[in-house]
Amino acid sequence: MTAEQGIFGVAGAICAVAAVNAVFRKDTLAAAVSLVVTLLSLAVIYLGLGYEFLAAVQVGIYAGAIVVLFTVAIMILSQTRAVEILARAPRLGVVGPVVAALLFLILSAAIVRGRLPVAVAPGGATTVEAIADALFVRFLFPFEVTSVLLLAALVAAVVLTRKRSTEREWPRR
Amino acid sequence: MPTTAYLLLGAFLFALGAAGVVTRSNALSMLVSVELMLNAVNLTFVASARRFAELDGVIVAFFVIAVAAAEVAVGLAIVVDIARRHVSVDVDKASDLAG
Repeated sequence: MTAEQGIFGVAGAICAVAAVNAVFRKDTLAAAVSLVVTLLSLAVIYLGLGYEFLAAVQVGIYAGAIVVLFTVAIMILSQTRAVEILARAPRLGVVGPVVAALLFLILSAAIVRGRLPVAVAPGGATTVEAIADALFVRFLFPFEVTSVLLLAALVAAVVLTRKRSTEREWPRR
Repeated sequence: MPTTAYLLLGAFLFALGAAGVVTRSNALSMLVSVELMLNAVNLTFVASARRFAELDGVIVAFFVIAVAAAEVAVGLAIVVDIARRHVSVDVDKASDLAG
């Protein structure tokens, strides 16, 4: 058993269990913490595959920034009565797991029965240098478009969450 | 390690996320499930990148992470805004009592 297999076995098992927990826990904060565990175990899997920089980005941006956003939103909402509106038990008790199981069966049948192209011998540069070369030369235009997207999201988040001066004239519920 | 194992884990996470989006009525849990689906796709991209010894899959994973950050920022802002509107009545009552 190689190191990669061991890493995938342990991290993959943790990842699967934490993902089930993240989806089916009623408590949103517990779900967010389970999501952190899932994301960190995925980072470990990326490390095992040899993509150190991607693992670092996964920890920094996903497990760091995105989940922190989640927890802040949970803290804000838990001070309001909206938590009762938002935090409801799963509906469609049986249908959801059945649909998920069917989707997984179809996907796994396609993966197992379908023939993947022959693997290329691992090699080639996976260093930060090679990633920068791809990102800033071949994918420069999508990279710049992404910065515009992030700016738009930033502005949208500020506009959506600030207090409106005209709030009183808005229709009340 | 065969690529199939990575792809199967990705398929499992994706199906789980889809189930969460369909069954949860809690907006925050739905966003958590969407994150799970995005990560499943990322894992598939990275495993394929490894199999073909190409960096393109990893680059796509970076873009997916950036898009996920934008999606979470806007999604959570919408959730907070919805919550604020639903509670505004109670807040006004409280201020009336304070006089």
